[in-house]
Amino acid sequence: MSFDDESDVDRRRILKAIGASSVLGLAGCSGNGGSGETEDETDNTDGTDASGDDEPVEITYRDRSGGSDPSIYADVYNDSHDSIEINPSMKPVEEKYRALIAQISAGNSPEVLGLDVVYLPRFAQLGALDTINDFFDSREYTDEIFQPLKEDFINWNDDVYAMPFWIDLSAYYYNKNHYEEAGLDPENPPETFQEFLDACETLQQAGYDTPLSNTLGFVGLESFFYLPHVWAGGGEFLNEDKTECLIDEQPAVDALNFFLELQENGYSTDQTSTESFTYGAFAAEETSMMYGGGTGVGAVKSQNEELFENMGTAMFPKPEGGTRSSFLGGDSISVSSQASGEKREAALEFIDWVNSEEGMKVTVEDLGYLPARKSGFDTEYVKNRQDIFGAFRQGMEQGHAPPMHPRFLEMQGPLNNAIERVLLGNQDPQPALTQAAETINGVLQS
Amino acid sequence: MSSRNTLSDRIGRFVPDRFSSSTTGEPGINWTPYLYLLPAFVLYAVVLVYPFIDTFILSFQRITTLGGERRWVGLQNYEAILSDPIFWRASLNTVIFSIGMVFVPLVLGLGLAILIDTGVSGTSTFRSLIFVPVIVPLVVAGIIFGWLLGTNGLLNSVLVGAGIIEEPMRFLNSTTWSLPSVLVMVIWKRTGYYLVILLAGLQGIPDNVYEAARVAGKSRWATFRNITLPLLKPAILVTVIIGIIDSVKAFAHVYVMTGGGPSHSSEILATYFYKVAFRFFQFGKGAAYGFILFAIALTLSLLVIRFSGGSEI
Amino acid sequence: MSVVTRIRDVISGDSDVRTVTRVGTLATLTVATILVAIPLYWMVATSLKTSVQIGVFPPYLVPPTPTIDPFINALQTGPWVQWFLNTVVISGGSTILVLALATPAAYVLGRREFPARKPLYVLFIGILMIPAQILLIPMYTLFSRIGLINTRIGLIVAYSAFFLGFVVFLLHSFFTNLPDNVEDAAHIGGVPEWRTFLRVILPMAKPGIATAAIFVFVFTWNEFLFALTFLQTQELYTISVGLQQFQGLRGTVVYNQLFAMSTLATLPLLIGFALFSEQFIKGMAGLNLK
Repeated sequence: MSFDDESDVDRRRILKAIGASSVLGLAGCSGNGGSGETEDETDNTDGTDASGDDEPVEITYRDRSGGSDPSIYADVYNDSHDSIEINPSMKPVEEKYRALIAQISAGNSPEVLGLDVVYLPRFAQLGALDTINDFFDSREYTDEIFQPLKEDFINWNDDVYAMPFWIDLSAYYYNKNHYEEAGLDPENPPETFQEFLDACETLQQAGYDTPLSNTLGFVGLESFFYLPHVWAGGGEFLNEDKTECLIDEQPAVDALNFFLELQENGYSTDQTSTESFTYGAFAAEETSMMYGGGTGVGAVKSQNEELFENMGTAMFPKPEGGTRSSFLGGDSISVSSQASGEKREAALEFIDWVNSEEGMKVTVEDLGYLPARKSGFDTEYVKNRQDIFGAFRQGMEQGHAPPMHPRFLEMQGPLNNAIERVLLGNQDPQPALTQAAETINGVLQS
Repeated sequence: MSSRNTLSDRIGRFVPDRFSSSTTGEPGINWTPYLYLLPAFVLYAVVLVYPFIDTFILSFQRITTLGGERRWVGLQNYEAILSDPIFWRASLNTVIFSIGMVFVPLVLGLGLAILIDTGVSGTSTFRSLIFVPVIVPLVVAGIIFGWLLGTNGLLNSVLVGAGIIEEPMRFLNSTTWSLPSVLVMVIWKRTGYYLVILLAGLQGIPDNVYEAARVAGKSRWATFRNITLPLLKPAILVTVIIGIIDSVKAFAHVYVMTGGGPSHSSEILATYFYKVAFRFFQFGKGAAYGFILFAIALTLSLLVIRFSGGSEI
Repeated sequence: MSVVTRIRDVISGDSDVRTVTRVGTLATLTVATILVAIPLYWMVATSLKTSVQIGVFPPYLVPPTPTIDPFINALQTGPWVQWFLNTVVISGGSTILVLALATPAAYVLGRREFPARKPLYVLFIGILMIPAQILLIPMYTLFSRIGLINTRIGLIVAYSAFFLGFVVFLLHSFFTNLPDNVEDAAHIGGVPEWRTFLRVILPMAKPGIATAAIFVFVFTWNEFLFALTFLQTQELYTISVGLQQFQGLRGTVVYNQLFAMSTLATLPLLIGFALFSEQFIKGMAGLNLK
């Protein structure tokens, strides 16, 4: 008896559920149908309609967040474009693309991939990215892209796999007030190794005990901070064919000696430290100079407004007779090889947009990075702080992108270890670099 | 027919008595145990076995395209790993690491457990407090200790303040001190875990055992050695095995604090494995590495069981 | 009296020295507890400092101007309540699922003789030995095909599979230690086996099950590798995934917010542990007695 009652109730409930969902379903359908009719008439702001569909094409843009959050690109784009909807998917820097690899392996790759430039060759080698040679050549602003970004940064094995995206380059920052107090010219920061060391000595004499905050302890900083000093002396990390490591040659040794002198004379904070980055001490004015990236601007601004108004940037020092240099890092942006049809079109639209005036504005003003095109430096915002952006622009022209080799990630460790051994006083520069070169040659040959 | 409708009764109506050998008393294959095992086995088979086999096959291959082609390289991956000097450095470090992860907390935990077991007041407070580190997320613990042992950290300020050293010392970024520094965190985190297990074991030993020993005139030490320890053997064995397996697999402890550096001085097998697979993206090699770790964990566990003469496990 | 004789007296429980040992024991335990508590105190103290106060050397032992700003700021970095709920659902679900599956398995593996028992047991224990990371990518592909990626259920299933071996290992030892005559008494009474299992054995196993439950819950609460990979949309994240965002680039950790959030994340576990502590201890006792 009770059983039958129960089943009646159940049956009624089920019917209700079916009814409810069909109503919802119908509502959904009519909603789509309705908007479809009106959307054909809709004017698209950018004048191109990639799909001609009723609904916006949805694609996913995956990037890394850590300090700055690149989902702003998606937000800004979505505000001004109707036919394409960008779905931002940000993962913390620390996870190092594990989840992305899993997605690509499973066939679920996001359509648009913002990749750290040192990872680009490996992803390209693994077939995850689409070649875009024609696309790149046909952009109207190709000529305007900074030269180092055209030679490297977006290509591997003679094919173009990406557009340059947001650039993070390395330079040093200095506290103008401290300079003035020590009797140094705030408009002419040191340019050579020797000048830099002398400036440190002067600052110390003026009572600034630790003139420079720097560290090379984190893997990656041997590339970001150290390599530009090698390039400045005409040295190279790898040879032209990328078959041999040249880091044991004289320019590299000289560069390493420079850092060793900084360490031994107490001019710098502990350069083997992995505890904190360089920004904190500089922003707190405990040091007068710091090695940093583009994000240093935002970091100082948020921690010490007054210092932000009174600081300058300069390219890294060079040995006598050399050319100052910088490391161009950051992200390039690619289309997944798994994207096709209208999604691929949409992805290309987006990666085109990021280098437009609007896109570059986001890069510079919202994220604190640097744009890939020269015109990106022609804005009011940049012109207002020439003392900061001047050096950055120079860096974009004279700097280098990392060596585009799929196993570059494995080569950073041995170099970093060598530098560490030298700075800890356990080994001399030449033998340390020779040892590193041997290990790296081993990687190149395996 | 019971008029109650409890869960077990409903299950009973579902599972015919035929499957229960106890009531029918019939000989023949008893399916019941397999039924009990079935759900677990299904989950295991569906979720883990396929990936496991896939990874095993991958260890003999190299990936050409992500999610696509692979090519066979035979034993090359295994050879490459076993001939890599860093692998052997990491192995040595792992031995040291497991002493810190298994044996030191075991001895400390045992000592503390004995002290607590003597029945001083506040037993559960001590026990709970010493267990808290187990609950703290590993990454956070690594960061806390990274800071405590850093140049601006507590240990240095104590040492400098007390005049023992003049300048702050390097701990985490020193080739000599990096591994011991990580072990301090590991010991802090694991001791409570073992303490709780051993304490329970101790408290489970009935008091009359001690009485009997005292009546028989045995000294405390002899009692401990001949009665307490043997009775604790199962507990100790469980913790040692879990500890050894964990120390072969555990990578976050080291990775968060030193990343394996400087210069591989704190590199353990698990951190290097992680780098090979997820930083260098050498997946075939990573798979091979994973299996080498699996084999090591298995061998060590079997050795421990054999050595303890146990049929316990 | 020589030192050795003195020590021997203490160990042998000479009544004259009993009070001394009691004080000594208490002192040692207190020292140990303080040592253990220092990092914990540090975590909480830092969460009450401002960003500027953190970088100072020598470091402030006590927060000079305790502020809950880090807590407030940290809580604004994401939908923490949602993440908290997600974590509870996932950890709770995993715990329930793995116990439901592993308990019967451990029971028969421990108390029943049947062909292939030993190899099956080894098979389950083998799971323990696998470093989970190597299975990450193939599992992702598998789950993706089944449609379990980016779902809480998917993660629950994955965790349950991984902890199966662990729980079977723990409970097996426990079940073998139960007195032998329990089932015999029931059989004589004509009670079918599954019923004995449910009505008699399981209640006796409560402490052991509580123990396993606590371990699984705590470990899945703090797990982040699979959580980070399997969960794509922000609304599904767990607490440990959320904590990652405070870490930023190595060296730019926002310490006070990270520690504030960690304190909040650890608190529920602590409370849970305190509540279940007694069951837990009884469980451990049951595990290890022979």
